[in-house]
Amino acid sequence: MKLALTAGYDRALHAIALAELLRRQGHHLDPVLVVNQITFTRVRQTLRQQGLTGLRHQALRLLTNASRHNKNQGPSCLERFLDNHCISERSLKQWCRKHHSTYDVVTTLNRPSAIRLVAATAPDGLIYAGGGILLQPIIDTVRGRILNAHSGPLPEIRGMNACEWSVLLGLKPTVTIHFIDRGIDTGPPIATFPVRVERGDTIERLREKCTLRGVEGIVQCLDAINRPIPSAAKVPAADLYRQCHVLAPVLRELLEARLRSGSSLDFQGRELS
Amino acid sequence: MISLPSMLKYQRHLGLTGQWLLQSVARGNPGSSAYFSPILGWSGPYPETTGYLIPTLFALHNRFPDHGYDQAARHAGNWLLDIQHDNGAWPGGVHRANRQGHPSVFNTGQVIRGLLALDDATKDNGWLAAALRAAEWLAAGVGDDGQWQLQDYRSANTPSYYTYVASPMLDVWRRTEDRGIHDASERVLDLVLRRRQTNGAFAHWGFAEGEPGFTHVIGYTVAGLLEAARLTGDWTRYGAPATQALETLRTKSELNHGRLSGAFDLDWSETVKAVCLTGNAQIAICLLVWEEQAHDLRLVNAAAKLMDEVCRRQWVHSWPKSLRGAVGGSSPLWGRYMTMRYPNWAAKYHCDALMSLIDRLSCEVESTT
Repeated sequence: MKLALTAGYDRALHAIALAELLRRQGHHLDPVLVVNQITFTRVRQTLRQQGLTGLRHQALRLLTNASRHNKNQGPSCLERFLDNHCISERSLKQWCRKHHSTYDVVTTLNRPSAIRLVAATAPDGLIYAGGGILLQPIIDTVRGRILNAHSGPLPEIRGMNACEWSVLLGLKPTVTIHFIDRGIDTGPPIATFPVRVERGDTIERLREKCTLRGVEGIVQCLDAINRPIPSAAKVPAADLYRQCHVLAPVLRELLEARLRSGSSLDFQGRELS
Repeated sequence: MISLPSMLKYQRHLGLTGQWLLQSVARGNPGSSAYFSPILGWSGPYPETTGYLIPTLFALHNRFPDHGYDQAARHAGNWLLDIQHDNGAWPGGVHRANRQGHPSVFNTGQVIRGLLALDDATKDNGWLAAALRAAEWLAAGVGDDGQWQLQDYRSANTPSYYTYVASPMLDVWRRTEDRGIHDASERVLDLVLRRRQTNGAFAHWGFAEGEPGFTHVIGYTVAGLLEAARLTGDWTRYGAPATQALETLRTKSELNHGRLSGAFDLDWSETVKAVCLTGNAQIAICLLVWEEQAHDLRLVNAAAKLMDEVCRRQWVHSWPKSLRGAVGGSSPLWGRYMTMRYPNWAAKYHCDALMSLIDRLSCEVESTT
């Protein structure tokens, strides 16, 4: 298959893993679109919403590679995964150069130039590995055939920090592979993959486990791109469920405490709204 | 028990705000000074906010028993009894010793809150008797259509945020079983419910007709309905209609990391860029009240972010002393709501919201251990 790939930043290890695993299965990835995190609009928005502290935090995250684990804890799950699969690249740019794929840095995936680039290669589908909310024009360009790995059970846990919210709200952490549509995580689900949470896990580790499960899930579910997309009537009503947003510091601390103590990790089925 | 760093931070901010409130009572003696202005200094005492400050002072007393909050509450209550009009009402505006002032519907409703808190704390019948007289005066002014007949404050129509008058009236009814008071407050609440738009907003929620509503008055409107739901035990009738507005405010606040715009039009367009800090705290309280029904930590998350924003804007430096612990009307301070002033009601709602948030989080922490 001919596939397009998106990523939120150049050194996104999960996107590199996806690109390489798909290539090894015989798929061709072109183009690879990476969103530029350092734009005037983005900096201004971060400053306005999160102040200087937020801006510093974001800058550090970008400079030190978001998915890198604390050095004291050794290599992250993702780094180990890449090593185990003998993937040596640590940058998408590097990977694209090696495998002769078009690599482009865009300010947003919804820019006409990005859409034109995707349309020019006429891919069978698009693999979304980050890069912000997609608007209708780019969705239409690939006829809705966009696969995403969402780190929470859908439709219950929509939005940001999904794996964290799953634990806090007492739902079993699950990665859902689904098609992207116009809403926030409202597209038709394809398959779910449970994620094991253990006492002593940190939030970072939990997120990495979900990301890794998402990589495996997308590789397993890739055939869905060629199948008909379920009609809207068959999709569980996502609007019935409240959207999740980034955790407030105090709830992040609460979740860390829960993970450390191992309490509230016996996930029961419960109804959410 | 595990103590989360953010909860300790909330405790510190609560202590600071509480101390500032005590300053406001000492400066506004015998009531609580309406606000502190860095230019004009402390204002005179304000009956309306002194009234609804009393329950907050008692709640602070329960947490900090040695700080004199209960004495301040009783002192303020005695002053409010002294200035009650013969017809049971209280005057509007900042109190002036040589002026009686016009009776005010909204202010009378808020003073009732203080008297009922004193009734709970002291079991002295005098407080309830004064509250009953006030509620009777309020009830007598409500027409069949749910509007107060006398023109009040800046609007010829009864504004929607007067739900915050109807709810203390219901509290008086609950204690006295006075049917007339119950029916009048129900008429007011029904009028506001009829004003509910399809997008969850309530017409006439601004200070004046046609004006956008500051989050402060939107907070009053919604809180009045939520309180009515609690007092009548009828969530479906009064509580549920307020949740759509709260969900919209939650989403807007979350998307801006707790920096909720200061005012909204009926179509939810933002009309003020500055944050109304009082409104932030009031909406946080409403979200936490809703959460008691919805049992959803996502509402607590939004409330925490709203309060983080208020705490970030609080004056915590030790100099000048009059500002230590103060919460501005707007952020930035030159915003449209209470420009360049630190109102006592911003501090009151800051305390109320922090106490609710700490209590809610404590339950979660206990379940974690």
